[in-house]
Amino acid sequence: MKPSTASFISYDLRPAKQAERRILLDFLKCANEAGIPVSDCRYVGMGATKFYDFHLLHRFLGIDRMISLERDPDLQDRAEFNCPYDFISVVRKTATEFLASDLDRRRTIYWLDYEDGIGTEITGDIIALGTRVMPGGFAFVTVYGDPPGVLRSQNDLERLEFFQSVLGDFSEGLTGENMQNANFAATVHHVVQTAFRNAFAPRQDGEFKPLFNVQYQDSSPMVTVGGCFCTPEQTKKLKERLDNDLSFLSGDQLYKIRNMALTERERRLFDLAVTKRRSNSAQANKLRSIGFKKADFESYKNLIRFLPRYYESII
Amino acid sequence: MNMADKIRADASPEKRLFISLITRDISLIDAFLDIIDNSINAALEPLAPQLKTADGYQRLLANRRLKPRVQIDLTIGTNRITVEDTAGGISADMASKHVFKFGRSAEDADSNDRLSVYGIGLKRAIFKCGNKIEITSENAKGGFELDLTVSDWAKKKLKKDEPWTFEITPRAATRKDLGTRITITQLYDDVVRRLADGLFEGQLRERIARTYSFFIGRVVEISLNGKPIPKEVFDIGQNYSSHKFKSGTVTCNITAGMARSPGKDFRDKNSGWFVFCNGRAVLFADKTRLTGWTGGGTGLPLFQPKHRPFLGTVFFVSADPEALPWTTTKASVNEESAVWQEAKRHMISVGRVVTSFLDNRYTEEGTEFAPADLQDATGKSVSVLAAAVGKAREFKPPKKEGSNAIRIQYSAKLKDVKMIESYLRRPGMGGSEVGRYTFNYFLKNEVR
Repeated sequence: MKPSTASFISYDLRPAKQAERRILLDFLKCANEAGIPVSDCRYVGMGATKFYDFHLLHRFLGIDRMISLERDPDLQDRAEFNCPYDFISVVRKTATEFLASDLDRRRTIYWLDYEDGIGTEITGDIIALGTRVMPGGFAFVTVYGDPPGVLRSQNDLERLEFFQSVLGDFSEGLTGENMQNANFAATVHHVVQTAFRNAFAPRQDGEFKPLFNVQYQDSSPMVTVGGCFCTPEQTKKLKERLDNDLSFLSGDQLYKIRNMALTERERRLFDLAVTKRRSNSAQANKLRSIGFKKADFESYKNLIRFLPRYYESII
Repeated sequence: MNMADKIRADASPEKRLFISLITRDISLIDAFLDIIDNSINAALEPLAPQLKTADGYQRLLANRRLKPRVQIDLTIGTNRITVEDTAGGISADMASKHVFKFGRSAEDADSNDRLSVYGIGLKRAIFKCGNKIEITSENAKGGFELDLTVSDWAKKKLKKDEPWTFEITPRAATRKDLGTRITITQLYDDVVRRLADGLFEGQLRERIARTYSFFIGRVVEISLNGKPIPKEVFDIGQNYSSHKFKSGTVTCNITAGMARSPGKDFRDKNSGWFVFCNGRAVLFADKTRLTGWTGGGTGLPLFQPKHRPFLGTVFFVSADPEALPWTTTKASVNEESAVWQEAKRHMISVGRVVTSFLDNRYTEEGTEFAPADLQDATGKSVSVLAAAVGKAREFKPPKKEGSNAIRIQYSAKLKDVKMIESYLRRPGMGGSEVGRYTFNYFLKNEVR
């Protein structure tokens, strides 16, 4: 079994990942405001040893029934040791095993935050989510967005052949162009969205619209797709809230969190520049003079509430 | 005639074509099952109020005091087919208003129907077999007789707007020998040839045993040519996984595990998915795309011999039989049905825990679990029907023990091996040493 990257990557400084988590938190807040209560949901995630998402969901949404799935036998004891709250259960199972055996039918927010590339295990888990998510529940899946190692040295047509043999009908309509490195994350996004649509299609007790579509990159590009399973009226209200509060999440298009790698001085200027009425403020002009473009301003404006600030302290 | 006036265009059915259409897509065996369905449906009537959910069927299964009250006898000769039952018979009133109508309207529906769905099965089945049909039914309210020559009925010209009818003769009310007897003669050539096939009787016997395993010995007894048909019981290991869901009026229980085989081998006929609608089996040992064995990311893997221990059941129940996903011939499922599509996703979710265990039994070095160990992994035996309607459970794959190393073996071109030896300036290094070196190189530089 591939070891979890948590065993060798320190997650403390992953600003894009943290921004994605905060956007997801806001997505859930929007759902709450749209009349889909989230604080009484159970949360099922993959907390590894740091439990960042668990902290956020408890602190800001009050969720206090949580399960962290840990498949890596070498990390399971450490995961239990580092578990921050008593109401989190670390379950030593893969998502596949958990989804096949979980008998709890309460409303749940599932976030299957994989590090793996798209494959049958993940599409199978998405199909299983389609059977497990109760009305008023949520499902999110995060997948590696670069060509997996096994495809890296292959040409577009070889990659396409591999995709078709592994993913079957989910690869329908893809071409060699979709396999190019520059397009790969968008292709993964398309497959995950298709899998979600397929998983929930026969349900008659609600609808699932994958309204959360975010790509971020700290080291590798990662793609997160998800949404809420609810009534069409609730979806409409949620969409209205999202248009208002997270307008950059426009429908089913993939939103890319730009990796801006700003210095603290630049950020102070950006904070003022994007919140001023005038676009040609002194701060904005200064930023332009040192090379920042219109897209940087737009991106910062979208993400101003979500980008974390890290400081080093010497104790 | 004013151009705006509406006139009526003739859209009435042509009897001969109609008979050909409804009988063409059903096999002879399924036609016999359709006739039996009618008898079992009548036999289930007193129990119907208890049979609205899977729990009701579970209670029926667990009730050891329940004794069959209805006998169904099939007699198949070279030129005559007879089906007799003791299921209380059909009243002349029912026969005149509902039984012979092609298709069931809302007012024909009986809330106690469990296996009667579309109102076509009995007619299609008897039309399939022969030209001369005699039915005698004894009923407490007064039964009826029918003597029908299909070709004459088909030829008879009808007046405009005259409905299709069969002439029946009412019989006096009785309390003795209640039941129905259907006799079909002037059998069609295709039917005669099929009946003459030495394998036919055995095939029919087996299908009846499998299709009605839930009912035989509990609700009905069935005989074929004088010999009783025992229910075919097969077992699943207690280590199985299950899901339940409800969609509209339909409840569905899904179970996946491994068959319990009396011998060492797992039998192909007990392997795959079995689908039941209101206790009647409609699919047996299915290993096709229909039940999710698609390969690729959309379902279970393509079925291979290593999956032969796999045994799954899907048990649909509804007090409204039309809501169930069976086809009109009850020989398969309607793939487009939303409830079937939902069930299929549950089948994939529950089933892949078992298939991935079976897949992982095999390594490059061969089987990791011996067949005897596999039998241990399945757990104690439990009737597949009891599991199908039982409580939700979790499949627990047994843990692998032993070495944490595996042997890697592959072929490489001699020319390439020599090139690596030469590159490393170690001629004569040998294939296994080159393999070890390149493996370690990849591990160090690409992975760690």
